[in-house]
Amino acid sequence: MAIREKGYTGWEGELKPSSQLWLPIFFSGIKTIFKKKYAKLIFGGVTFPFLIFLIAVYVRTKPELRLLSGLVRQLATDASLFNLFFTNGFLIFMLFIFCIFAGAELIAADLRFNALALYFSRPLDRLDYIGGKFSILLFYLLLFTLVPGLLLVAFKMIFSGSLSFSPLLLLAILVYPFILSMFLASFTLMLSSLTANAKFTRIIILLLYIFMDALAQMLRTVFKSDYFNLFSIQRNITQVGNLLFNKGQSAWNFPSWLSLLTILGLTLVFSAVLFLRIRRAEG
Amino acid sequence: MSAVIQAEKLCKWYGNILGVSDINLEIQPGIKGLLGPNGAGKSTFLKLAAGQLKPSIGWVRIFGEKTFANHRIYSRIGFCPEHDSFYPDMTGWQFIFFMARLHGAASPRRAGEMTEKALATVGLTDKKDFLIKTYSFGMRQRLRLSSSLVHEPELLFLDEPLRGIDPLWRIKIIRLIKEYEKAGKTIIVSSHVLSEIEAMTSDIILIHQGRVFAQGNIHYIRGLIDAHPHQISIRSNRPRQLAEKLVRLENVLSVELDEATATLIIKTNQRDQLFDFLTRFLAENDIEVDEITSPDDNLQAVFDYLIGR
Repeated sequence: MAIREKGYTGWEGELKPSSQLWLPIFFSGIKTIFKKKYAKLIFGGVTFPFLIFLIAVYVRTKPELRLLSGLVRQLATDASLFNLFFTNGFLIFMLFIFCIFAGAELIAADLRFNALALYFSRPLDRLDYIGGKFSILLFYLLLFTLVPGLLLVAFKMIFSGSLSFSPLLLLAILVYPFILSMFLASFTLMLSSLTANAKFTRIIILLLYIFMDALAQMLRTVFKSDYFNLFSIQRNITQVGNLLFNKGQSAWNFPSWLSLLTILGLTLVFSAVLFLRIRRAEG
Repeated sequence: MSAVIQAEKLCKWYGNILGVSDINLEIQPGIKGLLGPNGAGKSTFLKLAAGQLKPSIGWVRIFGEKTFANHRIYSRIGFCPEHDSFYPDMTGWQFIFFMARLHGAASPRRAGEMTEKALATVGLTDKKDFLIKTYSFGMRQRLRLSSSLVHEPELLFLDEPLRGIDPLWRIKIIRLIKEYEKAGKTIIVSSHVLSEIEAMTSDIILIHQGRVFAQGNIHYIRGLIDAHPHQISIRSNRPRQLAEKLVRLENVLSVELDEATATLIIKTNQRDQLFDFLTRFLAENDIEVDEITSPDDNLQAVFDYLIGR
């Protein structure tokens, strides 16, 4: 059989030095996560609270329907509606589930498959790499929080037939998902960069989510001080919601700005650890 | 002609373990073979030169620029690592396309064109839609090569590129590397197999125990190797008769008999002539030979000899 020989053929195109080399990582990551088996289940789970709140928004304008009356009673104001939507336990749990399944392996897989060398032998630096990984998580987390939030605003206007909406509340709707997403993304990526074993990362995320809440509850009960809620990830997230949407009013007796500081501080610490880990892996 | 790679006092330690030590060299355009036994420091040198590792002491420059963390220069470099670094759940096409995009291909269409060419170059076009985890070792090796070629670098680092490749593709890759040189590029190829390097270039760097031991024309090292007494081990049914004949030959320097294993250890400075003689003598005298081996016929032994151990 004749052997068909193919020598090297020169490519005559051009390579443009780009300042957006994180984009290929972003697009590749988005596609990879979307194709995963669990993705549809998580997408469905995250959509569920949105659908419930969409019905509630509709029913609020039609009290005669007498549907979801318990929920509608809590949604007396727009602020309470969006506070409850963004801080409801199910949504936060689903965001964590997403981070556990999709985020845990983002860097751990690169460590496992020795793929960091692939990136750092290309003309992209640490910032491009981390930016690319961050953008993947941010895209989905904002898709699950910011997008439904804005859709609820739009539907609220449609159902009520009025375009009036508090600009401060709109600002809160824009800011809160970013704070939440940045926190979750930095938390997940930092843990993912600690080990090449994504399963280990998943377990750690889940344990921290459950354990820190249980610890806060236990300490609060023992010492009878609400300040111990600062140990809980969920409660800090809820308090940030209370600060932005409810002007700091909450069922807990500790300042909600402390939770905001905790969340922002942890985001910075997680990001710094992540940068250090990648710098070490780089060489 | 200006040097493509310059290194000065280049050292790298991994904790207490020495990777490379005090390397000073200049590499001109063309193919350069990096030769040394396993663990000599070839991969460490390649990684340092390609900017993958930070030197502990000294520096290395490519095209006059320092390499470590100098990400701009990486678009001019192709690095084919020794070990797998793939996402096994990607197809070959997706992986090379991703690499092309990371190199800054202007558009997805351009990246697609570059991907097709790079895959065709290593003969993986028909397997491009298969998941990488289904690839054989040789195919993965070719995919690695493809990923380092996709952006047409001016300087190519190939770490053991022929390891695990079948003989047919071995010849093709050697030809590919030579064609690449003709296109005016520089290729640094590492191997611990002398014949592989010899097939590509006569210009070599010998690395041993983290140091550059010799640099220059391969005929020089060939000469040293030929001057090195070779050991040949023969296990036969009549070792005494064979020994008696062999000691009379001028090109046999010593003969040692191990009675327990019926094995002769012969030292010669003209291995090819001795083999010619052995073939004739064994056939004429009907001596059965169970095994003929060259215990020191490897690069490590040559290096040991060269450094006088």
